[in-house]
Amino acid sequence: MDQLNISEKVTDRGAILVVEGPVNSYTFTEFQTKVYAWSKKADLVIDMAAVTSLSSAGLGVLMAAIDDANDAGRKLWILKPSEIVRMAIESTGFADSFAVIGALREAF
Amino acid sequence: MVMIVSGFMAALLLVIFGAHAEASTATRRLGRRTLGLCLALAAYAAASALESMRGMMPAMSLAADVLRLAGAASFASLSLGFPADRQAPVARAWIWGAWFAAAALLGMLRLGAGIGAAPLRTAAGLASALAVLAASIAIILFPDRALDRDERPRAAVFGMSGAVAALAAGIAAFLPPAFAGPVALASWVLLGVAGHYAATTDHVIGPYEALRLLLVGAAWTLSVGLPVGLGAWWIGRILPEPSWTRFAALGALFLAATAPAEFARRRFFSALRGGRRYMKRLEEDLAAIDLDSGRESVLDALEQALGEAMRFRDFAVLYENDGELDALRCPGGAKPRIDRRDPALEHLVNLGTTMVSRRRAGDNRNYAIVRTRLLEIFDLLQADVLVIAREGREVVGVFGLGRKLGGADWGRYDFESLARIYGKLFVFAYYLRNAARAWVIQTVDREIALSDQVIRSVQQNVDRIEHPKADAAFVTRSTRRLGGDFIDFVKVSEDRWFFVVGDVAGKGLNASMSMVILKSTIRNILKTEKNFTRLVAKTNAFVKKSLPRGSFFAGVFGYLDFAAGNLYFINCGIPVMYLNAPGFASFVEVQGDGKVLGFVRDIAPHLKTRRIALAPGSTLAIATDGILEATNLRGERFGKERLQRALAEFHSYEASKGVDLAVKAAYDFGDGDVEDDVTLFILRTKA
Repeated sequence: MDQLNISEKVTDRGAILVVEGPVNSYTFTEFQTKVYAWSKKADLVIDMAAVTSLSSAGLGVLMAAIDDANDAGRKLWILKPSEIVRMAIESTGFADSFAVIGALREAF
Repeated sequence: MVMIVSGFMAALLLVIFGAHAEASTATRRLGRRTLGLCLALAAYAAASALESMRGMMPAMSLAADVLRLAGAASFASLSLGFPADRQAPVARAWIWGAWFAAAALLGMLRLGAGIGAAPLRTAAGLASALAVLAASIAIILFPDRALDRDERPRAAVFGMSGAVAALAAGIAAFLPPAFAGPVALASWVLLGVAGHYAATTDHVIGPYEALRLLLVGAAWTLSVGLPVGLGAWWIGRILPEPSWTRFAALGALFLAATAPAEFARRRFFSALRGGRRYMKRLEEDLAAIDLDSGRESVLDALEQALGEAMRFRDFAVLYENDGELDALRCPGGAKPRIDRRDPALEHLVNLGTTMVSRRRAGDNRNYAIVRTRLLEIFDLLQADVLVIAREGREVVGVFGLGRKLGGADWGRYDFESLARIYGKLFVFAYYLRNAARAWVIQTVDREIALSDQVIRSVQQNVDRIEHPKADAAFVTRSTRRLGGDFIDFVKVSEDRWFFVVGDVAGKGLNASMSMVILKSTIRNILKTEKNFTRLVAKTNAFVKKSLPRGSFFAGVFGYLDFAAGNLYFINCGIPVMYLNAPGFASFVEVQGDGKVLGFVRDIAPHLKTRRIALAPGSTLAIATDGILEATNLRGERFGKERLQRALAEFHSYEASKGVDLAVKAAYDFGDGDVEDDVTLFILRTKA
């Protein structure tokens, strides 16, 4: 899958972004725009089960979004990260700071 | 009241008139003297008016004295340049402090508090006196702090004391008739704001700045001073006799007012005080500049982006060319040339200065020994601010930013913004220097050559490890796009090298700029910070605070000590650090746990310094993640195991050949298509 697809769902308890495909140099901007847009204004779940790659820039977006959410008193969860995402998160050394969940009900 | 208003209006008109004075130093000085005289007259007019109200409002007598002193101080400070230009900041801080102290003393004596037995005439007057006394103590005790705080140090001090004065004036306004107090208060605040701004700038106040500051003063008056004054008036009604109870009630009111004042400051005044915010737009505009569009286009775009944001008049750019700094652009078409070893520039480099304003050059003692020459350079470039693009001690270029339109000042926000985009300006300076060299344009692929040249110049500028006990080599490749990988070596002594290998997260030009900024910053920190952990902690703080949102650094900081055969390092998220020492069967991972820089504000608790003994015959390999992520057509990653095997296979070669072959193996695996930047460093120790 070369295309990045990000679908948005808004519930009364927060927003859900379902990310599918690669987050790389070509697709990073769309990922950044949508994550930043939601991280401050609602509790956010990012479903990354179908992410096939995550560049360092994409990982930086996640880190900045966590910061934004914390500053705004919001929560940000990462739902079922794919192996590649999980490895990227662990590579930061701050895996504990990423709220990783296995099911949506753990968030909402 | 008429005199107060007319006096103040006269001051304002002259302020605006002065704004149209042109840039010559003599005219500006004349403008300042006119303004000083005007303020003094306004103060005396206001004082006379207040004095005439003494029958109705005893506290106004104190206000009149204060205003007289303020007028005298303004006049002395502004008109006479007391006592000499070089010492002007210190002298002004002291004269303002003395003014506050004298006012306080006068108030105490007038109220009888200073001579013991006499009763308090009004508790409100004492509150005013205490307020100005507190402000004066703060200024007198901390003049150095005030002066070194930022580009407009006195503005910061008087911003604080102005708030105190507004509250004090509000308290003084509690006496009837109801309108007299607010008018007197408004005069105090407005006059104070104008006077304080006039005293804190070398420029005549521009209409925009004057209006903005007057609005701040008016907002303070309405939202804080007036409610406090009304509260005090109400206290005076229910506690009509001067007493300690009334004094305590007024004091409580004063303290209680600090909470809404702070709220108002945060919510409403910061934007007013700071003026236009342009940082985000400026960063976007700079990032959008296409380096492939040609030197003149890049210069035009750069000037337009900076000019639209910061609204200055003239723009000058010098670039390094064979030891000289040549003008690429200069007001009036001049082509000045400055020696790169010019004493003034050398002095700035020695101080670690990357930007300096004409004002700071003129009155900061750090620049005293090169002041004349430095001001000549300002005049040469018709600039009010110089930005020195340098890497280590090498000046790559100089940007001169001229006077602001409308006579406005270069303020704190401007300098914070310049600090934030400094790395980008540095890259532009690098670009302009290299773009000016025709051979680059002619011989390298146009698509990415110029940008790549910038990055390569930075990446290759390292103190290479050349030591009898070492064989070291590295490869850094940015693929398709500009990258964020970097490697740097700094020779500390004959046997010791400091090094950094890592990757700045981000995309394209921004990542490259961040890389350039970070490399330069680490070198600067290294000059002053000898504690290894603190050096990394400061780097973390810089990444967090100063690089674009979402930036982080994954890499390793290390010290190589060949005399003792040791490597000390702090892992900050480097994915690969292998060691093959005598007795080892293969390459083993040695990096341990590490945390990337730029995620948390304080990284110090997470840092661990490790030591590895590098026995003769050992091989150390460090790589960023790009080499691991080379992916073949089946979607398989090159990964750590394949890298380990490649390193083992090429173990017998020299380091330079080993890195080439190992990187080639990764590229071959990925069919030449490697998404991320690749950096590999190999060090072999010899007996």
